[in-house]
Order: sequence, then structure tokens, then C-alpha cells
Amino acid sequence: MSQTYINKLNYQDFVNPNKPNYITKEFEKLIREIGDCKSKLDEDRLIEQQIIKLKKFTKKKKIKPKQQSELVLRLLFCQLLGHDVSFAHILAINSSQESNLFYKFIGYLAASIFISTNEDLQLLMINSIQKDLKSDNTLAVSIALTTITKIITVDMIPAVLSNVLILLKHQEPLIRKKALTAMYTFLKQSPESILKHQKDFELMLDDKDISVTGVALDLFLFISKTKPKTIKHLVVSFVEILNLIISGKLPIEYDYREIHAPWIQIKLLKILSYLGQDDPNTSREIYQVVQLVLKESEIGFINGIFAGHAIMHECIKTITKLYPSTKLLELASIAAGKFVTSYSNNLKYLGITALTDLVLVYPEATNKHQIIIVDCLEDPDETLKRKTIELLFRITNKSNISFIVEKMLSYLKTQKDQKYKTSLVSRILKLAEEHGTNIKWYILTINKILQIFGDLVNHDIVYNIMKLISEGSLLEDEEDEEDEDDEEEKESGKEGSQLTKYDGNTALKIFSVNIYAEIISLKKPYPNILYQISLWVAGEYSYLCTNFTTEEIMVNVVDLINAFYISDETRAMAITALTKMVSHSGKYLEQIDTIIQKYSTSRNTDIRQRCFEMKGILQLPNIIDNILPPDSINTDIEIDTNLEFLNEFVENSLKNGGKKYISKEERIKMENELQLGINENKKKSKELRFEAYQSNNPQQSSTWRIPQQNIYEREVNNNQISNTIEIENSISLKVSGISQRWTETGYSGFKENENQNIENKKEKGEEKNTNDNNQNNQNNNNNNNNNNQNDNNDNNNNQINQNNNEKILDVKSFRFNRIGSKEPILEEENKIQEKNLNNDNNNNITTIKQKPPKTEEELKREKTVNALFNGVGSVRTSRKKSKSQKVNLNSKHITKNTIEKNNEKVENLIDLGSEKN
Amino acid sequence: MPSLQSSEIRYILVQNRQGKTRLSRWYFPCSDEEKNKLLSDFYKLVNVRDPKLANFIEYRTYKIVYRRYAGLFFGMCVDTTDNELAALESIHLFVESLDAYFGNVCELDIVFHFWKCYALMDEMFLTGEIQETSKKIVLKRMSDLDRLN
Repeated sequence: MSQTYINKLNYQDFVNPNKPNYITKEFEKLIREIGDCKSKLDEDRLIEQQIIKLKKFTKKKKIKPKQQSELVLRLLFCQLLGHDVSFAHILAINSSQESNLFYKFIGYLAASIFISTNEDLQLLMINSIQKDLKSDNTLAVSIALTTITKIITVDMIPAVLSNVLILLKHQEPLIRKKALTAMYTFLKQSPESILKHQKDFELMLDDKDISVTGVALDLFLFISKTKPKTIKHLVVSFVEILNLIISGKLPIEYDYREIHAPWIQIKLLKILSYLGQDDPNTSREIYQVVQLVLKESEIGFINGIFAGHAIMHECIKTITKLYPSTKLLELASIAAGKFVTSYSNNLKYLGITALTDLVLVYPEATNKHQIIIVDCLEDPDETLKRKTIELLFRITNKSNISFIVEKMLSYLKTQKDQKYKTSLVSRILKLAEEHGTNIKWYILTINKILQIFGDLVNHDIVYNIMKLISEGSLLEDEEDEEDEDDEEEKESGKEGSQLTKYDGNTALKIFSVNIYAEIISLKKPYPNILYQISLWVAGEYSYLCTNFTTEEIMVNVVDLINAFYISDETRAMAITALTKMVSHSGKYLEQIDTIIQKYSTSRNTDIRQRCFEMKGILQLPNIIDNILPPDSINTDIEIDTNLEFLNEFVENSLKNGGKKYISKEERIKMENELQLGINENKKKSKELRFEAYQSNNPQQSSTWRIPQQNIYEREVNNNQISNTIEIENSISLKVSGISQRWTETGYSGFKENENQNIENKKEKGEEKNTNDNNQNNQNNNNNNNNNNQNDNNDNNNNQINQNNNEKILDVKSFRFNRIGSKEPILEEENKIQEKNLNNDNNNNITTIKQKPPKTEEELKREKTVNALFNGVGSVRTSRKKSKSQKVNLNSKHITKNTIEKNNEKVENLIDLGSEKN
Repeated sequence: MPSLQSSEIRYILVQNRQGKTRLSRWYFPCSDEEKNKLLSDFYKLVNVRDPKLANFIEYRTYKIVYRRYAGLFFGMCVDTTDNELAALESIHLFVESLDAYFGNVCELDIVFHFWKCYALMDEMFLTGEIQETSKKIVLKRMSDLDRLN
């Protein structure tokens, strides 16, 4: 409410003493203050203060009914201003349970508005509603019914349905009406359960009170939309009621501006239109009454009041929907004409809407009004214009296409909505394609559209135009010749006979190249898409151009290439076009040199490529015609796959001692043979390499741990040995499968040593990858990771021990998984190992010395165990174990000799294991 | 929440020229944010229109039918297949009824007696369909309510 508006008026005038308002002075003050607020912020502040006050009130245990209903009104006020008052919704419920009808009314009214935000309220309401439905007081019943229509949900229908059905027969029309309204809401929520009672509301159609009938019509309108077949037998009743209304037999209070119950008439017409749709028999029953209503509605045309027009409009809609009757359609189009030619925009709008539907069944409808319809595009009303455009799309045909497209384009220029524009442009293009009869007109129109809206157009249009120009014929559409003649003409065109008289296709090409050459010469910043078409046409058919010489076009194209407003894609096309023109005409311009020079270094590879192509082609004047023959788009290029023209050359070179050509198949054969030979050799080498691959294969169990040990070992080396490099190298080469892989890809043992930490991380990653497949080792892996993190030189020995421990455990778990029945033996082993471990932990330093014999023991033990399990897998593990043992050994006896010895030992062991298998 | 599909009227709004909503009735399930959006859209659409233009605006997949009475816009959102003129006339009937009830109605009547306006609206447009077209009966019902206290 504006400040000025408030100030002009005295508030007292509006709290009319004759109309009791039941609001306290405090509430009145609040309303005024809200009215005076200058901003939304002030308003919110006031309401928040009010809500705090209301909260205090709601905490009181006893509130007088009168005060309560006043509070409810205030809550309602706050809610309507967009504030949350859910804390006090209960007050509304309480108020609805008061015996005083006024408080009850307020309570229900507020509750029905609150309820959309609070679904729990519904359940609380249902009790009091049920009670009130049985009340003797008609007002109480009426209020309860009104509330039902607003809050009912599917779940609640059974609770009140029986009561409402009884109320349908209530003596008061008011209650009957409300009960029927309640039924209508039920029907919308769950049609199946309510349609059982259809008989009950069929009776209501004959109700003495027309407003009850009006509500019954709502139900039937709903049914006629969903299940028209079930109420076809009622058509007679509907027609009868409609006749009754238009003959003026209703109480005068239902007249609205001298028209009898317009809304009920409209409802009836709607129902009839749904019932008569696609049903000739029913439609015939309806024709007469619709015609009558249409005639009557005209009487009600009064300035500024549209009730009569509303009925007429509904009649047109009904006639459109009914099974077509020429007589009625004629009348409808006359009526629609009255709308369109009307002074009022509302009526014009409806006239256009009506015609849009009408032309689909009765195309003649718009014949008389075309000019008026097109004029609607110049109306300032956007709603009307958009509707008109829709209509124009439907009424466009061969005779009016050029006129309509022109009007549409001028409308399009005034549009600002990009999205709408884009859709409209593509629709207009489609329209031109569908209805355009004249190629000349089509090309000119497309150019016009592209000039202005080129950026909005789909690029497919470019290819359409190219195809049209290269294949289309101009005579074809100008003279409307028979197909046979066309073919003859095309043939003659193909034969390439002397073009003393141009055939249709050539005429079209001449026409289009003149147009497009002109576009290029204008040098305006048109959209790229237009230039692309122009350049293609100019490039292909420049020699046909009559308005410009080829040189002129070339100069223009050169200028265009240098223009700032074209894209790189267009520029590339321009260069190609230039090449074509040079080759077709044999004429050359000096500017072309500068172009080549300038754009050979372009950042755009496409442009550069085309520049070099042009340069290359221009240096070969002899074959230039073969490379770019004129009008080549329609000729299929024949490719000589045998390259016979080279035969002579080949023979010559053979004579001169060249090698003979070997065909691909032969070559493949030869290669296969070669491959076989290599493979045989490989087999042998494979056998040799086999072990090395085995140890390097990360997928095999427990291999992953080897590099880990390598790290520890290296740490030991760092501490204890000064000249490590050589040894390290040898160690890393022999020991670690993964580290070998690293060396293959460029990491050397030295590097590993230098970047230990990095290496550690990488190896961890490796391990994780391999480990994913190997759950047995997962725990160990975690331990190792922890170890890595805790790397301290002081702890080296300890870690070695831990590693040994893990290894042993791993062997155990591995075996355990393989053969559960051998458990007892394994347990014994564990005990022994644990003992050893304890010793190790107690004597950190001594372990190193004690270690070698122990590992020897382990090896032996493993060997025996493996012998027990006759499985290849177990042998493998033992071998790998032994290798890792070897690492530890190396770390302690740091001489090459010992390493070699150990290797020998290990290999012996492996041999033993495999022998036993 | 009651779902009221396919009712003719989706919502009825009364806004003043400053965009303050005086009355609003929703005949379809709708969240508060959605309501605020619809209210502000209604204001933007309606307020800028020249009085000579048509009283219908296509909005989303619906139509808004509105009419201006002094400083107030009365608007209704209806389905595209519905009869716009009938909706326009029902707005007029509603305003006439308000006028008859309050006696030369003005914006402040609606502000101070907002709940009565809702009651009157319920008499005429219950469930989103026009239910009672007789001004006389509507007024009788309203005076019944007045007499209650």
C-alpha cells in the first residue's frame, strides 16, 4: 500500500461500525503499521515482533474463545504475509471446536489455509468435521462441508463419505450444493470409488435450484473428460437444461447482464463438446441447440461486458470439436470473424485463438479475414502477436507464402527473446521449404533471413542450398513443365551441348551466382553462414556470372579474406573459392601472392593447409583443370585403383634393375613364415628366461614383498657399509622384480638409492596394486606400510626381524588356506618361529649374526613342508621365500661371493623342490 | 495436502500496483517458494501492461486472466483450454459482489476485512470452479455470517 494512498484516507472510515469486524484495536494498529511500512524489511520486523507476542499468548493455559478467535485471525494475517506460524496452528483447531458458530467459522477458515503447510492438522480436524456434519444447524454443516472441500485427502474420504451422501438430500439447497461440491472434490481425488454413486448425482441435475445443477455439471464435466462413454445417455438432459436456460425460465437472480446464467451455459457447452467429439450420432443431437445458443449469445453483446462473447466463443470451440457440420462451421467462422474484426484486443485475441483451431477442420474459415489477421502482427500486444503467428503457420499455402513470410520476418525483427526467435526462424525456413514454389523466391528469401538471423540458423541450410543450386532447375518452376520435359532438359544439360539457350539448371546457377557475387561485393558484416554459401557458389560457378567478371569477384573475395568480420572457417572457404576461380578462369591476381604469404603462417591449421594447397596447385598450370574441374559437385570421381597409367614407369624401373613389387598378401605370408622361425627360436629362449619372468611377475603371491626388503636392506647398507654402490647395484638387479622393472623404464639402482623415500612410495603403490588380487597378504602389506613410515636407522634390525616374522606368518597363512587339515603341524612350526622371534627381539644386535643359520633352518623347513604339500604353488612360494632369504643374507654377508654362494644354494633348493614334485 | 487437479482455476490473486498481495487463494498444491515466484511473476507481467491490451497473458502452460480495478489487479490463472472471457467475467462478478457487500469497496476494505474476503471467495469459487453465480445468494450467505456474532 503506498504511503500517499494511506495518508489520503481516514482509517476510521474503513472500520465500519455497521459491519462488525471483531478485531481489537491492537490488531487494527498492526494492520495500519504494516500498511505504513516503506520496505519489506520493516514489515518483516513488525511481524516478527507480533509473532513473539503471539507466542506468549499461546503459552497461556486458558484463553477465552473470543480472544482465541482474534488470535487466530492475527495468525492468519501473519501467515498471509509469508511468515511461519505453525507453532500456533493448534489454536485454529481449538477454535473450530467451539460451540459458538462464529468462532467455529474463524477456526475452520484459518485451518483450511494453514492446512496446506501442516499435514498433521488434517487428522485433528476430521473429528470435529464429522461432528459438525451431523449438526442440526445448517450453517455449521455448511462450514464443515466447505472445509472438507479444502482439506480432504484420499485417506480421509471414507471417514466422511456416508455423511456427505446423506447431505445430498438435505432440504436446504445451500447444503445440497456444498455436499455436491464435496463429492466433486472426492471425485477428483479417487474417481473409481465415487463413480459408484453416479446415480445420486444424476438426480441432482434435475434439482429445483439451478446453482445445485451448476455444481452437478462440474462433476459431469470431469466425467465427460475422462469417461465420456458412461454418460452419453445424459446428452438429452444436458440439451434440455441448455434449452431451459436460453428460453429464460430461470430465476432472474441468475441473469448476468441480461444473459441467462452464462457460466452454466458454458459448462453445458463444454460437456456437450466432449460428448460429441468423434461421435456423429451424438453430435447430431447437439447441433440444433448449439446453433440456438450461438444465435442467442449475440443479443448479449454489450460494451465492456463479455459474457455474451464468452458464450459465443464457447460455441465456436464446441463446433470445432463436434463431428464436422458444414453449416455450423460456416456460422462459427462468421462468429470468429466478428471477434477478429472487433475493436477490443480481448476479442481479437480470442478470434485468433478460435480460428487457429477452426482452420484445422475448416480451412476456408480464414479466407475472408487474412488481411485482418496479418494486421494483428502490428498490434502492440505481444500475446496477440504470438497467437497470430501460430495461426499464420497454419494458414500458409502456396498462394500466400511470400506475403506471410515477409510479414513474419518484419515481426521477427522486433523480437528480443533469443530462444523464441531461434525457434521461429527455423519454423519460417521450414515453411518456406514446404510451401515455396519458386526457387528464385526461395533463394532470395533464405538470403534475406540469413542476412539478419544467420547466427540463429541451423547449418544444414547451407547444404540444402548447395544441393538445390547444383541440382535444381529454374525453368521447372517457372513454366510448370511436365516431368518428362525436365528429364530431357537435364539430359541435354549433362551432354554439355552448346548452351545457346540455357537449360533450367544453368539458368539457376547464373541467377544464383549473380546474387551471391553481389553479396560478396557488398562487403557488409553479414553472418558467416551467408558468406559461406556465397563463397561456395562463387567458387563453383564464377565463370557463369553475367553481372561481374571473374576478376572482379576475385578482387572482392581477396578483400573479404582480409576483412575482420569473417571467421576463420569462412576465410578458409574463401581461399578455396579463390583457388577454384583461378583454376576455372586461368586468370591470376597479384594479390593472391600476398594472401598466400600472409596466411601461410596463420595460426589456423585449416587456413594454412588451404594456402599451401593453393600454392601447390597454382604451380601446376597444366593439370589445374583436372584437379578442380568446373561444376564438379555432381560428377562422381572415378578412381583407377589399378593405377594402370603407371605401368610404363614400373616396367622401366624393373628394366633398370629395380625390385619387383610384392603384393600385400604375399608379404603377409612371408612375414608369417618369418615369425614362425623366430617363434621357434623364442621358445628356446623362453625356457631360459622363464624363471626370471616368474620372479618378476608381481601377480604371483608374495613377490610383492621383495622390494620392501630391498629397502630395509639398503638402509642397513647405508649405515654399515661405505662402498655400497656396486653391491647395491648387484643386489637390486638380482633381487627385486619390481625394481628391475623400474630400471627397465629408466630408473637405475643408483637412483633408487638416492631417492629412497620417493621410491618407497612408488613401491608401496605397486604393492597395493598387486595386492588387490592377493588377500592373503593384505595384513602383511599394512604392516610393511607402517614400517615404512617408522623408518629409523636405529630400528633397522628390529624391522628385519619383523619382516622375517611376517614372512613366516605369511607362509603359514598361505598353507593354512591351502590345506586346512595340516593345521597341527603348522601350529608347531609357529611355536618354533615365535621362539626365534622372541630371541630376535631381545637381542637386537645379535640377531644379525644369528640370522643366517636361522634362515637356513627356515629354508630347510619350508622345503620339507613343501614336499608335504605336493603343490606347485607351494613350491613356488618356497622358492620366492628362499630368494627373499637370500636378500637378508646378502645384507649381512656383504660380499659378492656369499651372494653367489647363496644363489647357488637357493637354486639347489629349488631344484630339490621341483624334483620332489 | 489435498491435490486438486484439473480444477478450472489454479489460483486467484489480488495485488495492488505496488506489488503487495492482498488476497491469494490456491487451488492446487504448491510450496511457499513456488507461491512467491508466481506472485512476483504475476506482478511483473501484469503491472507493465497497457490497459488497452488484452486481459490475457500466456504464462508457462497456463493463462493468466486479469483485470485492473482502480489500484488493484484481480487475477486468475486458468487452463489454456478454458474460456478466458468467462474467467474475466467471473472476476468482475467477484468484484461486484465485494462492492455490494462492503458498499463501494476499496483496497483498505480488503486489507482490514481480509478474512471476510476469503469467506466471500469461498462462496463463489469453492474448489477452483465457479460455484455460485447469483450475487444475491452470496450476499445472503455473507450477512448470515455477519449475524452470527
